[in-house]
Amino acid sequence: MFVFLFAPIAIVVLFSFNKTASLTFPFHGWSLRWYRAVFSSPLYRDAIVASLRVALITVLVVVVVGTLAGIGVTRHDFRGRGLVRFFMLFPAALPGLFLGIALLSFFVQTKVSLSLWTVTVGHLVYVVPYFFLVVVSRLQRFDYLLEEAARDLGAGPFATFRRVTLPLIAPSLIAGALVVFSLSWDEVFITFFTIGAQNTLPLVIYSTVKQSVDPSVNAISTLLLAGSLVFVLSVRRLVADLQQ
Amino acid sequence: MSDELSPASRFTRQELLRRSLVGGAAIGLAPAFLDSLGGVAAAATTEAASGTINFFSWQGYDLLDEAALKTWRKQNGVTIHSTYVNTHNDITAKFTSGGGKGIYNLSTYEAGYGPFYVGLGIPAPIDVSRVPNFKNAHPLFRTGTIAKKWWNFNGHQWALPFTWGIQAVNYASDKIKAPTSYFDLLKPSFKGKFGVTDDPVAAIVIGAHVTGVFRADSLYTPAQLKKIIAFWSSLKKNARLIVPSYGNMADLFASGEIVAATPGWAAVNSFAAAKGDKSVKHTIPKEGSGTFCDAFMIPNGAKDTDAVYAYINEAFTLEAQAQEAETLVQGAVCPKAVPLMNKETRALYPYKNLTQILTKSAPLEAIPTKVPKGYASFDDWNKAWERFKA
Amino acid sequence: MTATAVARERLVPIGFSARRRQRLVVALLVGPAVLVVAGALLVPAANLFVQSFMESGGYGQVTYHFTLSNYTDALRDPVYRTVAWHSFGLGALSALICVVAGYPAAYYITFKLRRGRTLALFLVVVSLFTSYLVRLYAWDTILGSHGVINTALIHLGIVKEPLLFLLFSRTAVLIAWVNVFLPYSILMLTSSMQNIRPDLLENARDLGTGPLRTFTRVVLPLSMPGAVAAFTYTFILTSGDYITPALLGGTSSTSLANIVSDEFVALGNRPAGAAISFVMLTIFFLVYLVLTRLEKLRGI
Repeated sequence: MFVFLFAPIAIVVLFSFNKTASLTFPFHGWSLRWYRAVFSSPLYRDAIVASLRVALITVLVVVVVGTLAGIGVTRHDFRGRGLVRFFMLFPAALPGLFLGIALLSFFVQTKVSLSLWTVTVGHLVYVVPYFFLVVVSRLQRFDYLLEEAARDLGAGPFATFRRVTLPLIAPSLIAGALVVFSLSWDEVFITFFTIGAQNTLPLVIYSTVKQSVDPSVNAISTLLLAGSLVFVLSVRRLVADLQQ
Repeated sequence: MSDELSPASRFTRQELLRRSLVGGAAIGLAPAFLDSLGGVAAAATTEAASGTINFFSWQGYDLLDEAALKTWRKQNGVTIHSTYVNTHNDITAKFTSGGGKGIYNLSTYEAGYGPFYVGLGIPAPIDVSRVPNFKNAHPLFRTGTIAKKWWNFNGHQWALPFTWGIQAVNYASDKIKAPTSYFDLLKPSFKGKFGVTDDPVAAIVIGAHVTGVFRADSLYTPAQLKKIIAFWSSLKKNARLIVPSYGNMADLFASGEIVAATPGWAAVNSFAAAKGDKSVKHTIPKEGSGTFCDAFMIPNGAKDTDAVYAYINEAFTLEAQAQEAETLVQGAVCPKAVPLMNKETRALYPYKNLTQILTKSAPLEAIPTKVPKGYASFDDWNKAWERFKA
Repeated sequence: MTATAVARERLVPIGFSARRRQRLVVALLVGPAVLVVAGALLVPAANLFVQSFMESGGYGQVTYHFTLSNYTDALRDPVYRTVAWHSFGLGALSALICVVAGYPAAYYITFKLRRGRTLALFLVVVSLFTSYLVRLYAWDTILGSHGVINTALIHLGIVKEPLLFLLFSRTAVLIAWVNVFLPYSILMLTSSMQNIRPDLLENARDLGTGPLRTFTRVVLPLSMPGAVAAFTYTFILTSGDYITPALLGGTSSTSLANIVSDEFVALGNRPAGAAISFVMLTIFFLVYLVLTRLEKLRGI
């Protein structure tokens, strides 16, 4: 089964080293030319920067907003709680195509000009359900008695949150943040409709894939893969250290 | 290797290549004055042109690879940021949805789209006096009936045509002989071996030739349109796939998945060669084919047009035109640029017969606009093509 | 346990001002998120919904004139119905395969693996790290007539001619979709199975239940929520994916998502595109309803 899962990835990595511009067999030999092309291309650089900006802002906003909402929904029993939960999860029921189109129509009518900000808005609503799920499922397993204990010992609510709750839910928050980051990073449908004159990396890859592709796309993907691996592994190390 | 232009082939409206790669080239800022490059006949532009051009159209039309323009950009401190399109509809969508207004200051449209776009308020009138090198272009592109149909009407110049090309059939010359008729592709020997390109405008025009109902003004009755689509449907049954874009086509040839494809595009030959398959050629079957012609346009609401005007003007110098023809694998509009081309580019199209083809058999077709009752509209075309693909 | 539950347990009465304060706190906590979803989703969606009842007045224009024609046209059109049938059918099939194929993997990871579990999950997640578009293109190389599989089959003498149906066909689209969504399914199923208390399984074994019956009587029902989630998720996302069918579908390259996208981009007909989108949404909702109802029926 892992062979099936990884087969395309193996091909992608292999052909990133292809000597010619071909993406099909025969394989013509090893070369780093596509990696060099990627690094020297302002196109890819700008796109990576744009993708990073969008993803980072999305992550920041969603983590704050989503954690707050998660706490609100799990701690307090209030009227409309079910409705809020539904709204938080609802965007997951919509294909990116729909979200993108709805947003574009809306922006057109309200004469908002398209930019990376409009893309960020789209990504935000797209990722909310995933982060919310992670936070809520963590908070549901959270032992409130720990907070109680802190409160009994005289700590105020903010301090309790900072010293007790946050460190304990931090790993889940980080996991959620990672999920959100990768969702935003790879997103193409919503982005396609809501972007202005810029490009994000998936859009570049999308346009490249549709036209005359050369292995620089493979090179980028391999780099991203390696980068994400390194990133995830180091975060895990960090989290493990934190928990000491 | 040269394409034969049969007398029956006409200048017809064509949809363009689908290439899209988002590109951008930041060039250093070096203040300098423009040198008139290869100056013949045209007055040198003297506008101090530095600035940014935000380009939105087909890859290649931002002319990033032509040496003459590279030098010019460097000398004048002009930077180009490009976003490329997959289909001509992307241009329509971008400039009507409010997402493109004010952001991009240079785009293009294919001749047939002219009246349609002007109706939608997309292009801004062009001040031709700021593009003196346009005089280098063949009179057919500047004055006369053709020009008045697509680029210069209602008292304004809406766009400046700078390149054109023919779309018929690409084939792998090492595997098969050039098809002499579109109907060859229906033979069993071609079963599962060729592709139909997702290019409705090109396809319908070719289909009109094939079914014998071709009209210069692109007005077809629904019954005629049905017949055209039926032809393509029968092709589709014998085809391997619907090719999403011309770039894909090159890959498909290179990987040996197909041996032919239509509608085609001469430039695919060089794409495929870059991928290691030097055998792809382009041919025009006896029923004829379509020609497209693209023109620079400045979108309404564009800002900072100084650099744009200077750039366009530079694109019409003879040296630039020759290089454009070479890199785009298409035709140039300036006849005096032909001697400056290399052999292969010159051989692409019969420039000697240009006048005859452009005047006699070559009215540029439109997308049907102001369609009288009883004829199919552009909407109908698109809808019919959707059904064809389904 | 919510704070109010805890409070209730300790029989601490919540005073009036405390309740007001609580409401304020809730509003502050939940407010921002709700605003995001409302502003970025509900309002635009409502706007789109309104537009679906309007007429299209040429490319990109909307004339504000109430009409049901967008919906009736969409629902009555035989071509749309055929495309929808194929699109949804293929999507449902891929979702089914993902769930069915995901079960053994999830089961193994949850219950059989001890030390290797993190690694296995990690590998599953890693497969998601490569851009799905680029992976898409890799299928040409694997499934093509000169690709890995065909070359191997010919070499081994199993077939004489390359198998053409592997690429540029609905089969190819199916394979690509399963490849993309299987990891998600495995993750969802695993997460759902992890909530099954192991002592339940042990009890079953102690009572002499064979492994198959343990699976069908214990694991399957308890992990149904995960299976439903995985199926729905895959089904919805494949239905919205117009890129995969276009690149790998061959002559069956249109999907319903394509039609929606074309209505907006190629035809500039927002009302029609909106109507079709909402019809799609309704179908998703119905599928979800049916599945959750079925799940409840099977429940212990």
